[in-house]
Amino acid sequence: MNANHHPRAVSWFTSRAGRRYNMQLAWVVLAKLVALTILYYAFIAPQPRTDITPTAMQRHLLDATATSGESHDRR
Amino acid sequence: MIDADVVTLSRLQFALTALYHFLFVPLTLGLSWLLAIMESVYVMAGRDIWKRMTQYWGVLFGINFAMGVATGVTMEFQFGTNWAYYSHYVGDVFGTPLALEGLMAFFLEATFIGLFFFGWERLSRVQHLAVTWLLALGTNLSALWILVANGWMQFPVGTEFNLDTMRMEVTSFAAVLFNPVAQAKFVHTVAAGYVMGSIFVLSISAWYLLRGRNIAMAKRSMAVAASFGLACSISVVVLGDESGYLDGENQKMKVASIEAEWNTARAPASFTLFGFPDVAARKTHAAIKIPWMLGLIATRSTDQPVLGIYDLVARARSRIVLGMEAYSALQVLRSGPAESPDAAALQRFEANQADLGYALLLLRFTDKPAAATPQQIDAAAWSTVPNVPVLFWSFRVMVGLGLFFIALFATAFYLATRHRFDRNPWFLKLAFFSLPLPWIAVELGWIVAEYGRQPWAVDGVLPTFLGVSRTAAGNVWFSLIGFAVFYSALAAVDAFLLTRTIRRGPDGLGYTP
Repeated sequence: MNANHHPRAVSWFTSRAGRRYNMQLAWVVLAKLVALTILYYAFIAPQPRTDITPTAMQRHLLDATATSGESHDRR
Repeated sequence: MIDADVVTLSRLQFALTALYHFLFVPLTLGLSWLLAIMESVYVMAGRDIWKRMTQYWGVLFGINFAMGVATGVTMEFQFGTNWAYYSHYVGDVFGTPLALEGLMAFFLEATFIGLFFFGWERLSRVQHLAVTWLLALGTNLSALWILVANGWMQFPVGTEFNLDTMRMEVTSFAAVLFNPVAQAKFVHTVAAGYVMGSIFVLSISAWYLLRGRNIAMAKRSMAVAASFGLACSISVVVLGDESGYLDGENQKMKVASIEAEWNTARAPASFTLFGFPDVAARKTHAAIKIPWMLGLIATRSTDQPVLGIYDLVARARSRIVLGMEAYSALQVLRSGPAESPDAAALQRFEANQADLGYALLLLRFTDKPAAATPQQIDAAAWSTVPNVPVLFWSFRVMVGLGLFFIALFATAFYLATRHRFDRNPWFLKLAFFSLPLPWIAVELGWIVAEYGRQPWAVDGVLPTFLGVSRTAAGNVWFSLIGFAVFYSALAAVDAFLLTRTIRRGPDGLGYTP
């Protein structure tokens, strides 16, 4: 064996603490994804969405009766 | 149906979240470069005190960054929830810079902020310094993209209306990116952030000197803040002047409202230093004027007039009439077959489509814009005037504060070069009590920029009231109250964390060499 052999530099991420850190990080990311999914399906998905197809934009901007405003500025 | 309450509440909610978000952003922008400067000195000089300074101010930067990110996310959600029509109508333009802003903010900044805090013991000095500079660069790049998006709202270029998709679409991304208004806004806004960061460091360091704590660190911090702040405070005023000139070219109504200039000012136009704008009488009482100055700011000349509100309303009236042509042509085109459009209507639309947005203003006053009465056209033309007194006073307080910051930093710079901070407690007190002023200045700056753009969401293209989603006012009330409560809680936590960290100081946190 070569007496001048230098031990290979070991990344901190492969050490015991590093592996624990990686695992914690993965759990945090997973927990956030689950929480966001639950929030989305519980509160956002059930809400009605504004129709923004070109036809809906036409109704919104051009078809007077559909856009008849409730604006208090209407005179 | 367009519900006026939903329009008002949605605007209020966006204004609340935007103004709140901008309490954090400029400090992050400013502190990021100050950290880079301090760490550069550490790497070049090798003196440990500069490393400790970087670490200590880095803690305050980190607290502010975390809060700033949290408050920014909700703004982007609102484009979908409260501004669905706006998002569709201009999404092809607005979406790309907004997405790039998100990518820059979350990927670049978040990556390097992690390396900044956890890399001190794992990276070499030069590697860590590179991380800090990249963190500052990422922070500023994310600001660039959001200001490109905002600049397009002020001065829409590189786009045209698509008849089939009923929205604005990009024709030249380069024109959107290199929009002169966006570039001027970017440099003016980030420079204001650098001033805020410098005053933050100057004020807190002054407090330590007044208390006789962390003297060596506080003096060095003040010297860095004084020199960086002096350069940046001068830049803010110069770049703000450039922004004013571009407004004079492209947003004449905003300039006339800021000046409360009801009648066209003949050349050489005078600047109204002080006065009392009277909206009902449409005149400004007790106006004190500085000769030539407005002409120089708005036109860079002494031989060109600056248009007043009356003349600009008359101009808007003409554009509304032309826009009505485009509007009625569009109605014909949309009701006919897409594959064989009515040639006459298409020609009429193409000739007048630049004024389509002006006809849309009529929807506040009539169900049938194409057949609007002269009274309705007149009302729509006057609706292009923003809130004159708010703009008049916001601008003057902002500019006054900007000039005060130059004087503050010039004094600090002089004292730093003479090593006389501790012999001038009056200045230390002045610097400490100046702490809230940059926040007032930047918030007023946004009020001038955004309130001055009204009644437009996108200047000359889409009126604000047509951008809101069809949702119930109750929903917006719910989210508005929710944001107000949540943000107040965040503000309390932020103030607590920052105050605690400042009170403990570098000595209390173990950053004293």
